Amino acid sequence: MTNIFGFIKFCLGLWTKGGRYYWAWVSFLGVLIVSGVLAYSHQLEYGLGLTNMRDSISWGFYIGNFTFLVGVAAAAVMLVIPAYVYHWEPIKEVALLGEMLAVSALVMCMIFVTVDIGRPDRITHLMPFLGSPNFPRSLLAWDVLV
Amino acid sequence: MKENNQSRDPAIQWIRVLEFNKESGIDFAEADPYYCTSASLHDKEATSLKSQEGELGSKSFIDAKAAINKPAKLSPVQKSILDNPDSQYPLYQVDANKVPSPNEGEPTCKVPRAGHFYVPVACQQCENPPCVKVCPVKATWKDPDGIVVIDYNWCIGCRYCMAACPYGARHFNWSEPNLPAEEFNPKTHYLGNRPRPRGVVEKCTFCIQRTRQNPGQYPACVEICPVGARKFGNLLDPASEIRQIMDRKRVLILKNELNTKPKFFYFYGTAT
Repeated sequence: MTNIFGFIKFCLGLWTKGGRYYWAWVSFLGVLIVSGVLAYSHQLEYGLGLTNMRDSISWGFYIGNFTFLVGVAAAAVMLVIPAYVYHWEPIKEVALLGEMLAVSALVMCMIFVTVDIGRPDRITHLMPFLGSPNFPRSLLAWDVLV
Repeated sequence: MKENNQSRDPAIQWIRVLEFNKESGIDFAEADPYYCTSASLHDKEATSLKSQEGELGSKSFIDAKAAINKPAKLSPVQKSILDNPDSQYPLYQVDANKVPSPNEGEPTCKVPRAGHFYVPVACQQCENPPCVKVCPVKATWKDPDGIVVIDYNWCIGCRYCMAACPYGARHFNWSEPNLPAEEFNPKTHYLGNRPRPRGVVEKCTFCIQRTRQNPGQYPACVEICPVGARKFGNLLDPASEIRQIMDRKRVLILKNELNTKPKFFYFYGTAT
């Protein structure tokens, strides 16, 4: 347990250290994040109609990004396999980057799916035991498993 | 028995009328559900202006759009409909400020257009429904009597079923539906005409609140059809009107090759 706290503390220390360009970049990303949150709260208020998707094209940018990032995450995870198979140091270093990319891509995936569904308050319906996942039949339930 | 039809942006029509070309026949790739709507009229205006003015076409398209006098105050959803060329609204409904006078209120295109024919398509109540298979939360299923229903209280609004339906029969509540309290019919069915929340999928239920009554009523579309073009009955009863028709008329099944086994059949009025 102390290990985890130490790790978090160490990461926070790394995170808050940086030059002027670093903070400029972080604040730029922060502005992007805040604008995204504002846009999503707007969408929560008015419904998905704001996205200009309609019945004929019911999946748009959100799902497109989701599938793309799933691919990115899968590819990044794949970097781990050669690292374990060949025990070669340079690949292990790249695998670390790959893992980080995979984690961030997965987080974005989950955010995109949550933003896309019409009733995010019912997301528990997808979970086993809490809800009723249509498991072997629906491909989307497999996605949740992943 | 009121159906509790809610109003929303964009409007949801359980029965879509598709415009087909007579040359290509029933070909869904050529079907146009938006004929005579603002989208298709915009397109036509744009193309005609383009052909008139050559290279200035794209500019005049913008002018043509601006020419629709926009109401001063628009909700974001209304605005998105006006700006969205894919809007499913007829032109005369988009224009909220203009009071439709007898001449003006008419849609600017006349049906039937030459060389086209029209087929209403609603949920086909498939025996083997692809939409049910893909639902990740089991919010939709086929009831024992064959009606494919949705639990609006369980649907998470992922719209996978809409992607799976080959007939485009499912519709999503993109914005908040509303129904004035005085128009609300409190006699509802859980799977049928009760008010739907925003963010869930809905579709034709064969008017489950009418047909499952005892004594049963016809679905609203069958009852309202002024020429009696729609028939409804028990497919399992060999003496029923619907079976008589299927035995004696030419019957068409939409996208028969997909093996969805619809329980919605199209028959030709004349046997020629």
